[in-house]
Amino acid sequence: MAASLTASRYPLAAALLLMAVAPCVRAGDREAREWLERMSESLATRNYEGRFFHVRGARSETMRIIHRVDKGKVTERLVSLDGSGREIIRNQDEVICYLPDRRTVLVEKRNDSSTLITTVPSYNEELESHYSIERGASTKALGRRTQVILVQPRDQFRYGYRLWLDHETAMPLKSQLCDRDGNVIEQILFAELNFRERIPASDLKPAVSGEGFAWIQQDAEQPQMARATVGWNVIRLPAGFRLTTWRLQFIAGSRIPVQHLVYSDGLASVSVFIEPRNPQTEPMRGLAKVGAAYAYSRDLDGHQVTAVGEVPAETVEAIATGVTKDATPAAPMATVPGAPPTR
Amino acid sequence: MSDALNEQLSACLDGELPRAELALLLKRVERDAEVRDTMGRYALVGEALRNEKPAVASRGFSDGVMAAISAEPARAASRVPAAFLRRLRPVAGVAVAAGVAAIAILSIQRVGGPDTSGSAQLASDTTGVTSPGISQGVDPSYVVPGPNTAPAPAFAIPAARLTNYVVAHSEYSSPLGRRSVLTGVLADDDADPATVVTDESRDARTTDRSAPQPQER
Repeated sequence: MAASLTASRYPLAAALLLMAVAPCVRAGDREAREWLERMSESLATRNYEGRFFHVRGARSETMRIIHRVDKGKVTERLVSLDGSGREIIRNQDEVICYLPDRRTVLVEKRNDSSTLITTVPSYNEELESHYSIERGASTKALGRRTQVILVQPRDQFRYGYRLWLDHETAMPLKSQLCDRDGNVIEQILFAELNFRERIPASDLKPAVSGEGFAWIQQDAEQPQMARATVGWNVIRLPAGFRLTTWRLQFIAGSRIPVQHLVYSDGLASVSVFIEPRNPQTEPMRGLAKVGAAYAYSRDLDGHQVTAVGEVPAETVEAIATGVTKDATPAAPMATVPGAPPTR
Repeated sequence: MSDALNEQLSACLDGELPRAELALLLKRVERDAEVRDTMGRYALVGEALRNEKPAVASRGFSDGVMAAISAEPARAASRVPAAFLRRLRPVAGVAVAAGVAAIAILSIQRVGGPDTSGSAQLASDTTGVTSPGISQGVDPSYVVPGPNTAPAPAFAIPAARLTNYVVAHSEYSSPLGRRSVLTGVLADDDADPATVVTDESRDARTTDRSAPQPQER
């Protein structure tokens, strides 16, 4: 009950506060948003490599990142430097996860149209109805001048960020993923970050060959649309989440076409995977977690429904619970309310 | 190295260091090789802890912590300060809870399968993955017991399947979200105490259900 009162009181308090200080907040917000736009641009266009601590709870891992942009094409390699030897290499066409500790390589190919989709958020006023975006202190991190930018969620359905952006380059030297109460869920703390004129291709090669590992990848052939034209819908979406992408795909390691719907509030996103369930197997149910991401599974009408996202547990649960099957089979984009946001 | 500095380093890794102090500390980390070493060592101890499986945790997690620390090179072990160990306690608490939850999962799975090998088979069937490398190596430890209210047995999302989904999802995340999701995959292991929803957090979730329903759209 207490939670419910707080939750309903919060937007009102926030609105009142905003009204009271509206003139100065608006000016400050614009500048904070500009910082975030600069950050997006830096992240997408610069060549850099560095090492960072990935810290969650009392656990810390050291990781290396190598990010190359060549003729507008991004290749990124993330390597765990502690123990497992895991690494992830992603480029325009695919994401490859080398998991030597599981003797597995996971290949996730992007298909055709998905490369057209931009996932870079627009830091606009609309986003501010779900997050407050403000400048914090101007401070030092890694011995450099940084500007702190606070992106705080206005409700319990999304996480926020505290970012320490380099004054000169707007690169996030430190970032914290926080819940609505400001508790840090995880943080990335750069110990070293170098900008490079050029990054040799050899730096983007995995350290393990993957030979003798199980390679899990989807079939090259893409599923036929006609086979799954039943529309799915999510009712009672948490505020601000809208359908941004719909596609039919194979998930690595499976021959069953999976419908993949993406819902986003402009910053946080949740994927909903829907696939026919083998009637001989037990359905997957309940909540699971990988890093800061949650997943929630349920079975619905002979289908397995799983919502996954870098959002609080209740958001994936609410979205998975809201999945319903449309009565009329039709073009999925037309039957799902909430057109993708225009950019 | 002073206790105060050790406190600062571990507070920094916990994300609890005030901003002003953090700036100073990072400056110092950058300048001072010894401080850098210490930070790395703390990360190593974290790594050692990370390798503890919940099953072990239920038999005596604090012993495991001590073993992990004494497994460090002697030089390092003698220098892991009390300040840092004090901070480990909450972790041990979570891990013990994780151990309890792991037992719960095993008993839940037995409902669906005649024996443990049966339930392992079941888990791999659900993935639809035929590769032996995956189906045998997977410890279904992402599993979180379903909500208490669910009458039917809760079945976990198999680890391999979950990783597939998470990676497929990452391509649709914002750049910050993607980094968070992918580092999660890198850092993840099969027995992550933090993956288990503790009673406390589950209670919190239950409470939240009484919160206003998300908007109907």
